[in-house]
Amino acid sequence: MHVEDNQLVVAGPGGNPWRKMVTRRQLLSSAGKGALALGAGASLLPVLGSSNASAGTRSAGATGAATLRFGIEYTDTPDQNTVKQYILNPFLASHKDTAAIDYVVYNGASALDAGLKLALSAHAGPDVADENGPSYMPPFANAGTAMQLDDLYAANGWGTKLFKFATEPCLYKGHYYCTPSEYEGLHLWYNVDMFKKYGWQLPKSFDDILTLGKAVQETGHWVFMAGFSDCTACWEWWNSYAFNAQLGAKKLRQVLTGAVPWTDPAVVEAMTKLKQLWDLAFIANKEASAISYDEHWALFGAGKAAMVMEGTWGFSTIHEYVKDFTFGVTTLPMWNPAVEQVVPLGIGEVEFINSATKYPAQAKEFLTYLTDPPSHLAGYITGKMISIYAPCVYLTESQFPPGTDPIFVKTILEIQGLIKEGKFGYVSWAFWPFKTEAYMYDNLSSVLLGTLSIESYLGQMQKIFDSEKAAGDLPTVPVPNVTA
Amino acid sequence: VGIVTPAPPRRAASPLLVTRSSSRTRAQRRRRFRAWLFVLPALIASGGIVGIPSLFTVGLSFFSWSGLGAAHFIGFQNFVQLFTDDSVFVVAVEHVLIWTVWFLTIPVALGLGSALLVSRISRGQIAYRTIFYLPVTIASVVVSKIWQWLYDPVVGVDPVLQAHHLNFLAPNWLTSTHVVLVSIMIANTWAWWGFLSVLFLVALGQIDGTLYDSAKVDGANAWRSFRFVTLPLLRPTLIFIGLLTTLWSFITFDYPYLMTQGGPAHASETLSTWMYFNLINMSQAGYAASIATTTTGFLLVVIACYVYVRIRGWEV
Repeated sequence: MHVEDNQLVVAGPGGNPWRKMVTRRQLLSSAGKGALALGAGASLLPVLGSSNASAGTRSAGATGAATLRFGIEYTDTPDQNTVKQYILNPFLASHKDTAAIDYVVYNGASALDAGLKLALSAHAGPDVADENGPSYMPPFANAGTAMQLDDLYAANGWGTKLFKFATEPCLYKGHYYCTPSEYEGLHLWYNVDMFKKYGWQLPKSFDDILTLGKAVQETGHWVFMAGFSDCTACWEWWNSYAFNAQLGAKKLRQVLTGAVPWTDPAVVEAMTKLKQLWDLAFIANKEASAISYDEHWALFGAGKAAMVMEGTWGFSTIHEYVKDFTFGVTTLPMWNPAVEQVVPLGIGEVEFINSATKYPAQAKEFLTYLTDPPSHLAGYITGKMISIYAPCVYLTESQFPPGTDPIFVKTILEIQGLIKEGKFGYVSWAFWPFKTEAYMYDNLSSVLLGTLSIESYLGQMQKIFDSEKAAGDLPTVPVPNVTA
Repeated sequence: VGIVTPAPPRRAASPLLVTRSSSRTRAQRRRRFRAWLFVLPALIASGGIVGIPSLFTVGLSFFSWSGLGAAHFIGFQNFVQLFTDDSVFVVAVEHVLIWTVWFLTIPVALGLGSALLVSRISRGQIAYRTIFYLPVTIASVVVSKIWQWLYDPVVGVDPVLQAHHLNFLAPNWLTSTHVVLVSIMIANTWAWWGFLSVLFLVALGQIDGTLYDSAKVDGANAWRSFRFVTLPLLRPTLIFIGLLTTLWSFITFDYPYLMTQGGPAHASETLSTWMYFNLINMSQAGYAASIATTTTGFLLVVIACYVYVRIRGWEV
């Protein structure tokens, strides 16, 4: 494995909203602000779901050395073991001043955010922790509960070594508060065999989607599979696609920075086209609210639908369900012929250090190990940590070991090419201010089902966006290299 | 006539009686003190775990707070927004009212009906009780998943019904904004009515059988026995179930959240799911607290009604 400094130019947003939807909470009581947190918690937290903290890694046996607590949201034992194998154990072997690292497991993304807020407001919580993306960091930064990482960025050259698109959003009010631990892009996944059988062509425009969709429906299949019954936030995948495809990266960036309002005709047009797809029953035959995430892959694997619009995290799941046909992955068609092709990118996971850690030196060492590409590259390129940790650096084809899924390799290399050229768009979970984002996905179904007008929807988004902008909570949005 | 007889003293004022009375009072005080002493740990725990946080929550509803950092006092602003600028809150209130009416009628009728039927049999009653109660023991997560599968548009009952041209029985259970709340209530009812059935069975078992014999001698038929013997004697149970159901309906969270997360289009939103969304997804802890406080306000009215009923002695 090799990483060249200065090789990295730009990178895209990312964040795995699927992993966001899981929940957990951690109750920690202490004096001072903890009482306030507990006070709110006792009556409000019963609805947060359960939290659990489980011991993770082995002890290195170094007497008097630190035991770090590592906050994570992946609850599956195989995932935890993989991270242990590729990251934690090697780290412990080479860092004798850390005796052990214990997992603090939060049951999913929502629980992760809620649990961290509670714990850190009580000056407790894990020493190093995941968060769902850079847009989740401003509250921690404002409260002083996340440590500034400027020294680590300077010492390790992360500003240039890692994808700039991934590190820039961690910059808040002039300071770095997090490091990106993975990136992801939205793509079009399709049933290659079905396309061949019926002689369909991949769509290149919105009109192509309309034509193809009708052809697919005539064969009795669904056009796009989707399942959001256990992930309301996952509706935003379609928001993100629509805005990127209709506005293009340049105009979307103007909207995200407040130069163009959400009520702009171009944004209205994006929502109108998205609703058109819904009204035509192209999206899960209008049944997305009754289908779960796993089921949507199972149904796609059963040949129920021709396509899926989803992110690269799908590589960690698709092989479980798609066994009877060949699947393909390609870039999503743009809806507006006047805009350049981009891939909506995002950062779905970031890492940060708790300001109240008793072991700041060890926590910094661990964060460095976690962030610096060599530490977990092996786990990633073998496909075992696709949706957990993805090094935000350029890879070459030769770095992937023989036998790695060729579609995975091809997709990652394509994304990296687009990052290098600056042809990236923005996913909502990385580049939207978080309240605007939450309103957007929570109310998309209302728009699609006709209980809320597009104008009201975007008007309310603008109102929330304005308040977040006034509070200085807009995330940094990297500049793409596109003309439109 | 004209002679006024002084009323005898209620108690003789003998020194012996005074002593007995005093010692009885002291003994009563000691007993009362001991009782409070035993209750004290629970009171302290309850006050610490429920009371203080509840007061904090009420206080928090007057603040703007993200859940981290400093909170800013904003007076009644959260409540003003809640009652004047939050259409989802209104929808959520409507839904919990529908939920309350449903659970005060359907599961109660099912529970009472089944209990009346089962109470008439002597052999196998335990088996029936067990079967009725079994769904109550299944975690709501599991029940939700079972019903999600039943409602599934691809592998659930809908495709089967549609294949038999019974489309009117396949109303898109979890995707229709008109049906989704009922779908969730059906799932929850399945898991709940057995509990009520067992409660009613226990209550029915405590009714003195000679009352029915007397009613029979007086010429009462089955309906009149039910109307004038069973129902009045079930009143304490019914009132208790009514209170429990109302309180529980207003704070219902698990089934709506697990099955639809309040959607689609807020069609199954409840006060608790809306509070959760504001707390977790919007990081508006103060606003979420105002929803919690308002919900508690609604429930205080319900509890006041219950207390009134008890004071009036209608419960027994």
